[in-house]
Amino acid sequence: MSRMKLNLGPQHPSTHGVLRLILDVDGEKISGCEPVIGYLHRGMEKMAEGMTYLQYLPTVDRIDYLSGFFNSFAYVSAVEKLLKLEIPERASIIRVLLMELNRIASHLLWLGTYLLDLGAVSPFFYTFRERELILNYFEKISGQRMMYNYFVFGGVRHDIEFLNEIAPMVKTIVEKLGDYEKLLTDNPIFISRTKNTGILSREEALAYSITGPNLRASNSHLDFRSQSDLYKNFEFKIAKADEGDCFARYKVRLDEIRESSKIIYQAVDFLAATTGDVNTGLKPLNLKIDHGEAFADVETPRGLTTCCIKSDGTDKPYRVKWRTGSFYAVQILPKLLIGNMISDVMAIYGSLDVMLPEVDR
Amino acid sequence: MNIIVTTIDFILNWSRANSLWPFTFATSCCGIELMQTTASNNDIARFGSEVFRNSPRQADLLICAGTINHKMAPVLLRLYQQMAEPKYVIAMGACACGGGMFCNNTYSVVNGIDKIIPVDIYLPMCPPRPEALLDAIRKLQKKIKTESITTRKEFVNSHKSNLTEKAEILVKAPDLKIVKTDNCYLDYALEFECKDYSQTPSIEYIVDYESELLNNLANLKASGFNMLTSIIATDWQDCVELNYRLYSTFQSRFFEHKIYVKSETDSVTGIYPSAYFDECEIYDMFGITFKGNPNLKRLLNPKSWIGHPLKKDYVQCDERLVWNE
Repeated sequence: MSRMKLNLGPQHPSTHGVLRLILDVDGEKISGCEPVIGYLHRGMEKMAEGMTYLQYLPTVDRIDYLSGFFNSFAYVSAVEKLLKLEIPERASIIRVLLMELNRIASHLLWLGTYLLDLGAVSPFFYTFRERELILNYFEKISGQRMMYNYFVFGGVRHDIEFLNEIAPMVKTIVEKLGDYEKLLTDNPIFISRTKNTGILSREEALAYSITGPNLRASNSHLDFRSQSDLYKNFEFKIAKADEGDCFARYKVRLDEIRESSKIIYQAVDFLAATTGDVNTGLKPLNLKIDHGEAFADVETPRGLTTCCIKSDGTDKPYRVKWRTGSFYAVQILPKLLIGNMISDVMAIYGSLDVMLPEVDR
Repeated sequence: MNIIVTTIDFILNWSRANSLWPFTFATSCCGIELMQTTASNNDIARFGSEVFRNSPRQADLLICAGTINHKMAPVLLRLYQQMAEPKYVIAMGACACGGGMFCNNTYSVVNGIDKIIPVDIYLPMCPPRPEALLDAIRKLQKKIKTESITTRKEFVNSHKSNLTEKAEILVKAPDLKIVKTDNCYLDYALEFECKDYSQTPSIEYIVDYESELLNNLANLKASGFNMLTSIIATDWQDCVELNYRLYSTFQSRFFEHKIYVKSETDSVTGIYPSAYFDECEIYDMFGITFKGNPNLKRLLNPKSWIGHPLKKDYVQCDERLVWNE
């Protein structure tokens, strides 16, 4: 057997970003793996220290550009905790609605690109077609396709519009989801590449601080949505699987799209029936925040994102720290890859749904 | 002679412009819009550019989609050099054009890829819409069609003489505003501990100065706090606060354990393996060393980086050599 080092990345089409893996291979088998990150390190945390609270708000969407609403929400609600602001109910329902739509868009993109990594090209076109429906809707309400900047301190920028378009759109997507399942769930090639590959046990996942769908595919119920006040009026199940392999992670994400659609229907019904303020009318220019520290936790499509802000009485944050799910998903890669074949690297890595800007910040 | 040149130009330009094969080079947000452009709604194949090559040797067009930082810059340069002539570059997005949102207040972003490689078409916006990228490709095709083999060489050479001649390129780093603050933060932090934290009743604090960290964390883990969600470090000027934020899946609550350290502390990777990346990041950003960490290294910045960026007294060198890793 020949031992050699194999460099994968930082420019590799399947990493969806700029991850570099230094693999020790023994023939076809992987005997060592060292992830190298930082190729998209943009210094977001230092940036916050030189900007006012309002100036920093648009940039947080870029931390994870596939789920911009979640990052916005984490930052905005941390600032709201520092300011002790009460949010109008309608605003928080709008936030839930948009975040769940964003979750669907994010999972759809994951599905398309994951199958692209596995060698199937056509699902990419299907999922992007459906994702475009959601992006078009986001563009209508916020003016941007990916970086929304729609949440403000104390609510949302303006009341939601085109509400009657959401339910048919989500209905179409859920219907198409059935098509994907027909295409994939019983597909022998897909099953043989994902089943029993990259098995992650519950204990190991918790020890390595894995959260989100990756953890729930390993027989865990942990979903930070169920503990949050934001979701207390909504009925939904926590999608979960027991096996902990790549196929289980696929199943959990597909189920999550269905559960998100249920939340969306409930939110749309609520918003259509009621009216009210959507923000507190806070003037965020020259916003100064007293000494304090606040954490905001949000369950994003990629796990727990925490925004920690420490304020010092000035108009700029003293320290902003982002805890993201993908950061820890990269860390567990050596554990999952060692002992597997080279051809499984992308099957396992893709199933973790790692977003590199979120890792490097 | 001119007739021959123009005839060759016409044939070459016609074939070059209508089959621009892009290289898959996407670093961040714009990469998603690049993918969207290739997908069914905005079918890039209509303009002869659907054949995305994963190897630079087979590609004609480098669409630089996303932010380039100092760690990625040498990679970009090498990939560009590996492409065969004729090669064209579209700088997609505000970051690639000139730093975009990250041109100020940050230390790691290269303000525009034209500091590294010659750019044919600039496409600002953050991120550009798929239609805008298609427009950029059309503009590039127009540019190619008006080019002559002689002028193309001049364009590349002028840039080469500016930059690429030097083996190691110095990139002028942006000026960083240093936040000046008083030295009273430790006192404030202590005062803050004692406050009633009724807003979030599930959070408890321990503050200790003696190094009982490992014992405390082992006890906490035994009592059900089975996940270390993150280690949050803050530079309080005279010391660094490390906040170990734990979570218990049994009790569904967070717990915070804070310590204040000068320059060295114990590694907790033996108790919580997830701390490894956190500790490397804190070493990189704050210069704290962790005794017992299996492989303490710079995590996000390049190995040759000088200083610890998240320290409050961090001063960016004006010109920085981080390229020869």
